[in-house]
Amino acid sequence: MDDALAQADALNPNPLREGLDIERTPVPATIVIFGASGDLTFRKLIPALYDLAYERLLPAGFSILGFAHRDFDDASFREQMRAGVEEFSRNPLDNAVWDSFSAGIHYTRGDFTIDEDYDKLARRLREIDSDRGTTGNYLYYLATPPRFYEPIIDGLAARGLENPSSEASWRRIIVEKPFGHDYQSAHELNMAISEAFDEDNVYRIDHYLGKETVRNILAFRFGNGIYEPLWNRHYIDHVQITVAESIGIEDRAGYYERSGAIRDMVQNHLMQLFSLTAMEAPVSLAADAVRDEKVKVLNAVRPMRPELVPRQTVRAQYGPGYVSGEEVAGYRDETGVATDSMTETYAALTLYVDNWRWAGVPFYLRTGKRLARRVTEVAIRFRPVPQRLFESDPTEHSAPNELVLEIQPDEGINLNFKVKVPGPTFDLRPVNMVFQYGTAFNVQLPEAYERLLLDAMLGDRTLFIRRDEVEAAWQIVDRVISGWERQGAHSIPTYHSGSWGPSEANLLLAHDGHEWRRP
Amino acid sequence: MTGLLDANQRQNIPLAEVHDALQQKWATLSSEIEQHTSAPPMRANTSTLVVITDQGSSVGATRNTLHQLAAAIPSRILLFILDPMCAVPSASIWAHCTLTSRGRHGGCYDVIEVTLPPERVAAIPNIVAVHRLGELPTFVIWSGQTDLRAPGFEGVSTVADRLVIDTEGFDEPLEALRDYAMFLGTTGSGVLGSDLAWTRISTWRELIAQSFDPPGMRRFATNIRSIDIAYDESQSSGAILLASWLVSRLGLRPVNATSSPSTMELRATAGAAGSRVTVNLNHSHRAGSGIRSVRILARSGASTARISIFKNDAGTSTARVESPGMPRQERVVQHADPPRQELIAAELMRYTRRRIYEDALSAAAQFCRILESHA
Repeated sequence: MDDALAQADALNPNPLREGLDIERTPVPATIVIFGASGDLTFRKLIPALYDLAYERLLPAGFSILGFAHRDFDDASFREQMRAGVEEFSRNPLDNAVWDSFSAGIHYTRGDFTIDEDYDKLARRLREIDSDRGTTGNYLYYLATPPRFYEPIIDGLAARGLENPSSEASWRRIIVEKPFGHDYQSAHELNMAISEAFDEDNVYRIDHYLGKETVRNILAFRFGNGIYEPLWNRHYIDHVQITVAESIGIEDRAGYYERSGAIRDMVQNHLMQLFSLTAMEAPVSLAADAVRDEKVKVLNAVRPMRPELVPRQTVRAQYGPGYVSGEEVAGYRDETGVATDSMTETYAALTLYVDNWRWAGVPFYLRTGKRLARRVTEVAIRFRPVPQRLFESDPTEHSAPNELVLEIQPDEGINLNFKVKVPGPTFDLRPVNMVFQYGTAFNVQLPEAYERLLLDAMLGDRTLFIRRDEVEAAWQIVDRVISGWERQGAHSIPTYHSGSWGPSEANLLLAHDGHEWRRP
Repeated sequence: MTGLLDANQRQNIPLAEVHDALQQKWATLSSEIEQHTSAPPMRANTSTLVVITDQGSSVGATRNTLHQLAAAIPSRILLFILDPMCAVPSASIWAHCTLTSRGRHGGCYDVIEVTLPPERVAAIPNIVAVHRLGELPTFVIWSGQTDLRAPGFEGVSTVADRLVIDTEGFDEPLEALRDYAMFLGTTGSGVLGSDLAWTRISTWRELIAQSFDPPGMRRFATNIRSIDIAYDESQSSGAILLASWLVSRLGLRPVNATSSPSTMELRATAGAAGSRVTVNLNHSHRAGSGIRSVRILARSGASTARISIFKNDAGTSTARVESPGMPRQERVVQHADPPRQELIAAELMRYTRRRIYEDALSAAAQFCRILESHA
């Protein structure tokens, strides 16, 4: 919880809250979804909000106001959203709960670029305040293409909708990724947002941070005494972070052609996993204490000099191949992709962190589409033993101890170590000690959006990305992109769909005497 | 989960041979698992769950509940059946692993079921000490009514990290709560106590607490004038604990109490000014419905707030808040009565001291003593 919120609660606490599983519930508020007729709202946002209502985590009076260009009224929008809940919610659709929840769903048709439409929005919000007691608490959710971010912020500011109507009420804004296209555009976007909203009221969302298993990296690192003493250059040889997808670009060619893997995945998801793995222990779990440490480690990443980009990075594009036994097309054959596209669907890079903990330890990051299988993991490779004691150990150097934090799809923790094979000789072989969340806690994990939407309503920014964090991540990624641009290559390596990436990626690690693990 | 790999049950094993028999069973099951998945089984246990029951007729249901529970939260289950017909203690053992739809195996668990004569209850701590899983938490659930002052009960608590009873199954719930409070307050074992009757009212507590979450409602939380709880005998203990929780959390000071077949009334004072508060527990005649409604009236200056939460028929409740200057806030929420398996699962997930529960239990004990003193 934020310090300020904790203090406010401490001044006038709810005496009945202590000891309950849920520390607090949000005050009645309206979430205004810009781009409410889109897929994100249908598949993720409304189902997540319904799940929160089903789990009794939303207050009475909670309201939703959809705002988009398509022609809906309240009734038809509710009907459409009901279909989304039926298809995508974790919990079953309960008619009584739905009726109560959907009574708070409203819709206003509007164009993000037309000033007068913000008058309609303001009127509607006042009506909802009056009818449902939301008292001027508004959470704006930008579920639109990024080109509309600034017009929406300007539209809100022009009508004073960014300013709380009273000291007790609040106005917050959730911004979906991508946060800019590069450092400069991210900085400009942040400037535009900051003209209307204080940083304390800006919630940049990366749904990865809402995943239980990503949050568990903090619990694993800082809740156990046995790993932290090993978590440094003295014991760790290198770290491999993988975010692999087996799907292609599906129907997102327009977006993907402009972003590529580096902007789509590395700048956000991979950088989040990297910073959580490499950061120092925060002094507390308060939002800024955690985010301060993440920013510090991002700033400690050694700037990649242009001449090192070819040696420290690899980009590639998927060609045709087989995924799950099905023949799939190559990237350039996908609908909407230029036949001479140079957009990378795979990116791998080596980062070094210039601080006392990590000096000399390479962090290998990779991501790609149409890889062998969907997997996200952080693998910590420990240094090999200093002396070859067991002559019969063929694996002594090729398979050092490894700790793998599996994020998805099989959330868990694997520790690889060696044991003696039973018998008269001292033969060693590696074995796995496996912990899987599903086998220890067979409970349904909440969707990332549930957690993040609830946190935003509660004013807890811990799992959201701060402005300086976004900009620090872009500075790392920008150097890679400009290095690639300097290369001016006219061709891009390809890899077979369904493989683990291009052979060039193996060379990236081979330079250091390492190899990619097989997830 | 799509399947369950089950090494056949072994029955009538002398207690001294249980350990070896279980090892053997796991070896058999491991090779079966390896045939299915090409990998040895993984076992990630979370706790040892000890359940003691003397309810012969419901042993089958208890066993089923525990197996379902252990499949969800892998644990070692030690089920003790106190059977007056049993002459010589003996055990049965099971080992299970579940197979997932992806052809892998999920969690594994095992069950040791011990039948012994009731007079041998003092042997339970030793059996638990032999078979529990090292340093993992040991939960002891005493199923059904028992004498909370008996040495056997105290003995079992010495091997428990958390002791769970269900006062809802007791003939005299208020007295049971008093005795349990006394036991936890005086036992030297350091065991943490809990009660399924308390876990059962979690949603009621949550809904009441939520009513006071909006900043405008906070002032009413310390200015409550009356609390009315309607219940039937299937949840008498829960109703008393709910009232006791409100009394302890709101800092009410009990003055006197009365009871009749249909109602219990506690009169208390609140705040520095000593405002009067009445807490009514009204016995409803609608059998099997548990707690039906909670109504709270609060007055701050000239303003009055009313909170009413009542159960509907279809596993939902309606929560309503009426306060000055605000439109009436009402919502329908999911509020099904959790099955016993879920209640125990909720207990297994928690391992910290429950000070709030202990405070509520103390308040219930005080309620009992006041009633006795006015009888």
